[in-house]
Amino acid sequence: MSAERLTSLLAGLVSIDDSGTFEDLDSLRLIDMVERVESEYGIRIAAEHVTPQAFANVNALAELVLRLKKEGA
Amino acid sequence: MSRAEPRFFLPEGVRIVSTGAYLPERVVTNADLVAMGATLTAEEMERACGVCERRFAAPDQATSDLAIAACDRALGDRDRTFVDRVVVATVSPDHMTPAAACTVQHALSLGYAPAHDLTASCAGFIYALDLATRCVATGDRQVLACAADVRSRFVNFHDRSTVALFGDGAAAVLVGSGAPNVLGVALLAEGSGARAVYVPAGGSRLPASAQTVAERGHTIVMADGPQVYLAAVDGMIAIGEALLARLELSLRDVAMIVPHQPNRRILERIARLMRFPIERMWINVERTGNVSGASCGIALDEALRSGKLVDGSLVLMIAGGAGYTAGAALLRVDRELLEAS
Repeated sequence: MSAERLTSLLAGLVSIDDSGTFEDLDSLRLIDMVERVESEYGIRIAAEHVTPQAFANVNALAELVLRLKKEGA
Repeated sequence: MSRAEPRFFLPEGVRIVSTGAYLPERVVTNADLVAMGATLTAEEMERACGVCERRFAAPDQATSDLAIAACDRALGDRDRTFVDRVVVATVSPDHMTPAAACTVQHALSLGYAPAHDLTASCAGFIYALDLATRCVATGDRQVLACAADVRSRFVNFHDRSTVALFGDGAAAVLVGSGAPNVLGVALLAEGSGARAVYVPAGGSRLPASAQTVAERGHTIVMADGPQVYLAAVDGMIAIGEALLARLELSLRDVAMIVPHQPNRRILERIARLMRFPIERMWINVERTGNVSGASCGIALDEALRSGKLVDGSLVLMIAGGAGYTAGAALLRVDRELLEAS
């Protein structure tokens, strides 16, 4: 799991600044992100996983994806 | 909600005798909502929730009017003296008091049958069905279980997260005894989500005032849409699967899922996660919007009339909504019900 791969995956879906922080992340884009990440990594992101911290930036989201993959979610 | 344990009721000798539904005449398109002040474009609305149009009640119509129409269709020309109870699930009653069900009871000439409302938001229809089956199981001859809502009166047309979602309508079932077709009902609530979707003002917590009106406190607030979206998905899947497991059945046995219609994307996600063919899920949200508690009942009425169900088809209804509340019911469709629909 790399932040670079996530950045590439989410390109065009949400704005990401130089520090990896998501910008203009509204509800619709957030759901789009969840579904694209689920599809790419074969995981299921539940409501409890969608926290402001986990979706603050690319690195935090990468950590979540890695954790869910380990847990077999 | 996904880890919670529902409460089950597996009735014996209880059946849905007939169904009825009513949608108001006025069609409101996404373009109409833009004209009313919505700040999303029509295309954005459709992409966000898959709703193209919905029905709004006429200015002189209240929730009980819609409920009366749906109940009247469910009753048809049957003898109304056998109706021993009327329950209306609604979050938009005509008045804070009395119950909308009392107005329905009087309009339908149901004598002195007990009449009362219940509030279970988008799970309202299944909560009402649960109550009706329990009442018939314990002695009532027939019960009218209805869900009806006029959500359009509580929409903030400037709120991008909710403006496109809701529509108005009603659905009813007449529940009685006989050859069983209601195999089981599951309900749960998770009150920690009580503020996830709510109308802040107008109740005892924050009574109506000039300030609450000015601040649009009487409209639906959904502060964290993604959380609600995912919680609805998780809850509806979990309670449906729990009911099937309790009945020692699986999705392979189910001919059709008739879900609450929160929005198109939620239903697509549910179908994908349940690995259930979406073409066997009854979806009408693109033309009705989310009709709150009535959605599931309207969908059931349409599905029974569609010709896609046959004698013996198992139909799984699932719903989840504000509260949080969730419900599931499993029906075994029979010829009598198909002929009555």
